[in-house]
Amino acid sequence: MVYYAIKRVLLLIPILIAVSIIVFLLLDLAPGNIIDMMQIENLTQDEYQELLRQYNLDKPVIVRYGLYMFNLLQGDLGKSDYTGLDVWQLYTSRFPNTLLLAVSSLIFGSVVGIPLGIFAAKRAGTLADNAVTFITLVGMSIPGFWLALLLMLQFSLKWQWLPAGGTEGFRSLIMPTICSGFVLMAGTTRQTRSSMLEQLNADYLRTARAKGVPEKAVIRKHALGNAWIPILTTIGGALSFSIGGSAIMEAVFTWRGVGSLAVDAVINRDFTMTMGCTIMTTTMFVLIQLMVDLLYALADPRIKSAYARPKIKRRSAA
Amino acid sequence: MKKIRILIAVLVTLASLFALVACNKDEDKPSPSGESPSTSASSSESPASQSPSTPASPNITEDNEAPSALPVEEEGVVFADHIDYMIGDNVGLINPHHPAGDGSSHNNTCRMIYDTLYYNNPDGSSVPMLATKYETDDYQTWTFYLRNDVYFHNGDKFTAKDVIFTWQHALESVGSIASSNWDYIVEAKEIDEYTVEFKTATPYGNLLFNIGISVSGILNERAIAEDDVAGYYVGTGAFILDDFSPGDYLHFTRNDNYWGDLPPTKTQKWTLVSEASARTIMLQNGSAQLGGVSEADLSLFRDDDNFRINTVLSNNSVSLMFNLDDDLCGDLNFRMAVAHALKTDEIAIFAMGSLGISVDNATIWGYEVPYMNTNLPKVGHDLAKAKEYLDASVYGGETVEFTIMSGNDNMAAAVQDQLAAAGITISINPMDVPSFMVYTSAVENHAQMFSWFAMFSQNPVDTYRVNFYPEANNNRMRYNNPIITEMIDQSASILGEDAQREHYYKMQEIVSAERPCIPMYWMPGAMVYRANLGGFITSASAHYDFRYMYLTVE
Repeated sequence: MVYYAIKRVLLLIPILIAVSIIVFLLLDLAPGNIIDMMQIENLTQDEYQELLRQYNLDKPVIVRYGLYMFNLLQGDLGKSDYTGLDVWQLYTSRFPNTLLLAVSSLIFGSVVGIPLGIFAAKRAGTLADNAVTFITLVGMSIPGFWLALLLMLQFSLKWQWLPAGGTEGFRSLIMPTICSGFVLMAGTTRQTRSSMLEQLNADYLRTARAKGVPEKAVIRKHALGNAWIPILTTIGGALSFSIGGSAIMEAVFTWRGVGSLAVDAVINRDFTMTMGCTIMTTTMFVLIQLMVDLLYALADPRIKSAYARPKIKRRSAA
Repeated sequence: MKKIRILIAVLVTLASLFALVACNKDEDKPSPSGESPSTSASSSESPASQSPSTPASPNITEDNEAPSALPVEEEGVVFADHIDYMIGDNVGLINPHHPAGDGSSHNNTCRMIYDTLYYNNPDGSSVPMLATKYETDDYQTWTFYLRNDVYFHNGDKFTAKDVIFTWQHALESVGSIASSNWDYIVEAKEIDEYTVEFKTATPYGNLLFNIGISVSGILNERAIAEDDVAGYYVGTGAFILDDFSPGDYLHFTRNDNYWGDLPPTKTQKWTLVSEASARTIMLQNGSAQLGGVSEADLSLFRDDDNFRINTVLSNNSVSLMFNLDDDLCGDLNFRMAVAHALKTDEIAIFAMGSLGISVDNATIWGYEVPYMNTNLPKVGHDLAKAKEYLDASVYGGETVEFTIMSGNDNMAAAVQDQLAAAGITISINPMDVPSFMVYTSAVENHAQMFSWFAMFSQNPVDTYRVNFYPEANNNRMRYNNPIITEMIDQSASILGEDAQREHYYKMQEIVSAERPCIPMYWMPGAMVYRANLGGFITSASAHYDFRYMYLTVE
């Protein structure tokens, strides 16, 4: 297990190198540069060339990438080309908000979604199941920003219970959590329902019931125990994506996360900031996926044995 | 099972209907464009109530008070300690000496935390601020006498050394907005602790404007040496920037050691709320007292006595520009045909709704820039003339490319229809901002016709340099007329009101006759604020002053 975890963490290095090359090249291929995006009115062409030199944009892409990676290897994510502010500081000032929203959405989505999925699976084909399916379809298809505005109109404007935006206090977290978590809840419900349905019809459950195991234990211990893997995959995937931030949700709720930071950086052609966000998000993504993989092992002993370091058979002396 | 399906279908239908009703609930209210007779706009937003065909000069604001004119504290009325203002543009850094240190909210922040030697009033006059007076005999050597009772936020005393440092630092900051304002000064000398002498390359009559703009604020050398980021937050201004989260919010606390009149409000928080709908809701629920809203949402505030609307037009005009290097667009007859084919008043409404105010002048000049030549013959909509010019042009019926930035589709569609009526076929080429910037670059413009801002500085000396000087960054039209180039170079040294008027009138006459661009509409902005809020100053130059903003409470 430890061997597997170490192997996965080491795998992060080639992944980061590959991602950084791809992103750096894509940014270089994209039209415009940071000086164009500054839209400086009173700039002569000589000054433009001087700024290109100051930002190293007169150098070939391979040289610029080399310089960036040289600094990165020393643990320096650099300073934003656009603002001159430290990328690490900017990222870490926003990341707690993103993490908070991602985790709260995950909790909301799981706490509501998993029981709802079990509920629907147990009552497959009934009116209750259809109602749950309808809710999940709405959850999957409703645009997040639209739901956000509806919630704001009701809770912030009409009833004035919750603040319309900001990142101050628990109350400002409620609406962004519901909006982000609603899609996750829908996905988790559908996944739980389908996994549970698969298990509920399995022979071993029929055997368990025939042996007199109480229905609650059949569902919780046996069915849910085997349905965990796909549910974990859904939740892990959702968390990985949430950790990159959601620029739309952040804009609507004035929630200062890394999503808007990354989007602004790309729009401004801020190489250093974009690369910083990419490196950090990729690292988080890989680590979350590793956590999910390790949780698989907890959920399924067969996977745990597969993670074990292969033992080299010693030949007997005889 | 069939019954269940029917039930679900009914539920889905009901939910959809509910959603549609919720979305359209506000459509019963008066139209924002002001066409409805029942709409009554507030007195401070006359553009909204104008008919599309008769746009009138906008009323800038009733709050245009002198910066030091403190509100009169009536009996029983006190001022709130704190004001929340929602800004719509991202402030990523505070540093007027950085190429990216520009933008409305950035520059307004500079006015809060820095003082300048002189202060530019919205009417164009300049009044002393950190300087007490100036002397000049030839408009080339200027002596400024400084106040001796001013302290920076970090406790340092303000002296002539700080002025010299700010000038030097600005000159070293290539591409910064500060450098473009200070670079007319070629030599600066400290005469004594409270006297400085500036020399300009040629006699220069508008120096007070340059040093009075908010981004020409005086910096503190020690603070910048200690911290090359936060050091720029230190000024002598009426407010101290005590908390700044880039791209998020700015928190100001009143500088109680300020040398001038103390602002009535102790703290102000400016928060970036990028989504316009969120700003509307936050204004309505009282989370903030001031903020810009979308044109569509203005109708929610028009008839509400709790709010006032402030509409401001910028000096910049959204223009249809021609790439003069292009064979077709380089033909004056073709440009005149386009100019006569367009109905700019309609385009303004299509593009900006009730806030759309077309450029109603024949000249190409900024909205509030001094010396606008209003005597030039108007080049308005005249289809017969358009066709006459078109026949005389090199246009052979080909499709002309019209490049726009995404989001300007309404404007482009209106242009397309109007040009089609004159027999000109165009194809619309929408692009995202970075692609547009490169595609229409001043160095190599690939577009034929395109829509962009004609940017006009409040200072007439610079106002043509930005757009019409060869190789200037905003000269995307690739305009190059040696006579205009020479006149731009001479502008700084033209002294005396009559001579300046004659000079600028002539420049406008030449450029307008060549029609390198067709100004279509002024860039509008609308701010909504609580009825009990006042004291902020807005102007077409987009340099606003919020220092003496106040909120009265019973």
